[in-house]
Amino acid sequence: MASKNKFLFAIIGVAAVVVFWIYWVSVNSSADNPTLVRYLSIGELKDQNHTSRVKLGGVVQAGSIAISDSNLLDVTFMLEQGGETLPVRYYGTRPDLFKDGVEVILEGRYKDGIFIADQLQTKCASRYEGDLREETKTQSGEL
Amino acid sequence: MMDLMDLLLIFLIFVGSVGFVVQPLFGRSVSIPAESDELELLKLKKRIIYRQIKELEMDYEIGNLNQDDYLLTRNELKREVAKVIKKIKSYSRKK
Amino acid sequence: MPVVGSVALNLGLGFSILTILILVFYLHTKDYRLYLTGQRSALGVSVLAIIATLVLINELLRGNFDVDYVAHYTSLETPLLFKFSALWAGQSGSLLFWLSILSVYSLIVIFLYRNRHRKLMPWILIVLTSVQLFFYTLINFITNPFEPTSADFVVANGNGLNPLLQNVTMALHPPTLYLGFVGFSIPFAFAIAALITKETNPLWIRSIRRWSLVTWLFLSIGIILGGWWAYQELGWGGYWAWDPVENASFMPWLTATAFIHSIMIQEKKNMLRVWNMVLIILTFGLSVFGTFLTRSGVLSSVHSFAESPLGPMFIYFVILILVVSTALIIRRLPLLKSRKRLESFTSRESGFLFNNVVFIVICFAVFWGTIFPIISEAVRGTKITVGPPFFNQVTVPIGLFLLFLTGVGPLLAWRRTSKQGFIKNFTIPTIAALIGLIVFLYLGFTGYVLVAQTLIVFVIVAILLEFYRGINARRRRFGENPAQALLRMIRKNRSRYGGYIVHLGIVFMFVGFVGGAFNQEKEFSLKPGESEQLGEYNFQLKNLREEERLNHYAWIADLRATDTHNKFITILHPEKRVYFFRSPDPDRRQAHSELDIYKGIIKDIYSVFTGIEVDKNTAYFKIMINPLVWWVWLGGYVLVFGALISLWPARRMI
Repeated sequence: MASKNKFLFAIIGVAAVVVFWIYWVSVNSSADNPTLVRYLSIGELKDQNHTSRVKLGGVVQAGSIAISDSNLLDVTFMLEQGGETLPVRYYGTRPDLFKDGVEVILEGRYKDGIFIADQLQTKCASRYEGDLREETKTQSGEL
Repeated sequence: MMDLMDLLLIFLIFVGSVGFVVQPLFGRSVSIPAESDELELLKLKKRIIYRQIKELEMDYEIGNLNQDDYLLTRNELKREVAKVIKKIKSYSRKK
Repeated sequence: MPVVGSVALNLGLGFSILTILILVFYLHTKDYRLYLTGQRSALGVSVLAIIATLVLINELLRGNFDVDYVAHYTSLETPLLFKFSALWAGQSGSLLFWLSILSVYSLIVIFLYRNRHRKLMPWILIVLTSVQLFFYTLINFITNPFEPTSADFVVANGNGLNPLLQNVTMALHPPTLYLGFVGFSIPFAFAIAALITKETNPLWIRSIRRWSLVTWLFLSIGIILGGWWAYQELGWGGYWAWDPVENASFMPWLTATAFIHSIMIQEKKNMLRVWNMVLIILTFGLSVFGTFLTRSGVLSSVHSFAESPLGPMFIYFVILILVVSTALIIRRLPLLKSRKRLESFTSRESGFLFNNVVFIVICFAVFWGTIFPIISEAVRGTKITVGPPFFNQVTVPIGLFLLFLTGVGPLLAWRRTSKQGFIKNFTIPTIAALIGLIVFLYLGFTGYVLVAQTLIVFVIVAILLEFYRGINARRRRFGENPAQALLRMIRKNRSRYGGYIVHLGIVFMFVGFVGGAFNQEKEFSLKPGESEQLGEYNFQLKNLREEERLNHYAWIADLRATDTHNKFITILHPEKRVYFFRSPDPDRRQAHSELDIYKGIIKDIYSVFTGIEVDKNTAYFKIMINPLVWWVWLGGYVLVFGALISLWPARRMI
């Protein structure tokens, strides 16, 4: 019996240590090590004036994309979501699918009324599935 | 939408599958075939124990086991396999 | 023609209900004719699913745009291979594909075990058909792939498949993954059947061991192919991003790996029977859960999940599986309890046990990180996302512990390791690891990297030593030459040495993971003739070309890479492409970066053509130096090779 308990304790011990470890990692989220990041709406971001690192989702307002003359990687655009808009600035490589009207997910900080993003992803329901239904409609509508 | 070809195919699939499924019901009643599993199980047990003995020998030769443990386990396994062989013999005699 | 597929699906639904009823009736009456009928009906269920799939494939290849699914995922220009792979590109098609793989497996089960497992088979068929019934229900009532295109418009040409998905690896990745996902239905069916019938003989364990190894192999290949595709196509320079879709396949892989280890203890010692049941059920549950994660849209937001009944139905199904299985296990606990006990911490058994605990714990961490955003959104209303830093930080130390166990486990003896045995087996690997530690310390490595390097040395030496000792033993005993001894030794103990080779593959992968700590990247722009420095390499844009091709327009860069001594290394040719460039509607046009990678044993040079300013004749690049990535793929090959050795049928099939 004693030996059985010994193993049970060992297993429970290992499990407990790991659960604590997961908790510890989650709680110790910092700027250089963002383990957990809040996903906000534009409204929430503006109201609460968050300055920590957050994620935002929305649609690129048609016609708002402005690429810097001096550097192709430097772009500003307006993000639309829930009836509100927010100016966004992003520096870096953009995904191929980035264009007007595309849904994007951004990660970065809100500062002086501008969202400075350092991560920009175009949104796809799944890696295997790009829902192009809207395009079907416009295309077949023309015919 | 539906042309003749489709109808025919559907008909074939339907009749074919239903006929195939109900056919055994019209046969004579069959008793459940005897369990061949038991003998097979005994033989399997024999094979597993033999393999364990072999592996044990190898472990010993490689040096993963000390002599006491090796002899103890080996004897245990040999006794076990003897029992199984006995059972197999009595089983085949019954047949 | 599509109507035939539709009817096959309807019939299949009906037959699956019928099969279950007939078999339950058989269990009451014991009239064997009923069993035969039930078996045939189960056969029918599977064949009908396969017919429906063939019809859909036919429509896809023909390009019948009257079917919405076909119009959605193929176009006239889609190459044939990708018309075929469109079968699993969308939701309804992939669910049908899931069902048809299960059906193929189920046909194999019916055929293989037609004269065996008499007590179990009725229940196995009931369980398998119930799973099929679930998928038939989804396909018939919620997402039917044969749904006609809406009547109010005519489609002249379909949408076509996303260019990113038009890649051979990507065509292979989902099917291998699915073969793995679905395959665990079979061990699950066996487990449930054994629990219900109180079958205690170990015969069925043998049957499912092979099944689980095969499906594990498929799952592994699927995961590796996914990483390979991400690396080759996506352009962010890595192969694993802890994306929920990746996690969905990784979780059942973890529990399956735990299972194929602990099943050995059950086979040899008849221990851990409850635990193995739990692992089988968990793996199957996670496979279904994974299908749910990737196919229900729950990942984008909880709201899209609620819009379609598909997600809730999956959740109910998973809950049903878990509740029924747990109840069964609890009822059968007295039967499953083993009389034998673990004797010592320093035994092979306990090594396996801790390996299992670690796998489960990693699985839990990944599971938690994957569903946390969903839960936080559903419960608190704000979504909190869990990023790769979380997963990396959590799993790295646990993974290293696992690596340690990989090395230690095989060195431990069954039951308990004696002191002499301990010294004999551990001395050489430990000394090697210590030497490695000193060398790596001297080279200036620290932290996790240092630990990983030391462990890698330890494990490789331990595995090689195991081979060396086996060979030596045979040489002494049979007087064989080393090559002979090696071959015979492997042939006589396929599962053991195959397993060691798989371990070696995993260690190679860890070498690659360590390399990831030293990745470098830089984004810059170049005009023809200019150059830029990254790390110890210099990149010069020799030339910028353009080309009009069949279905896209391409700008091609000739990027010359040299090292600090000005020695020529390679010319990279990343491309910027525009698909549908002839389309009058600019929104239809789609940009695509075709990257180019210089692959080496020590370092990969990864180049992406990120953008072009045509009027200024300036091209933008992202260049990455990724050390040791090559080892990840090598590890993949070694893993597959080892698994195949384990699986290769012995002369005597059991």
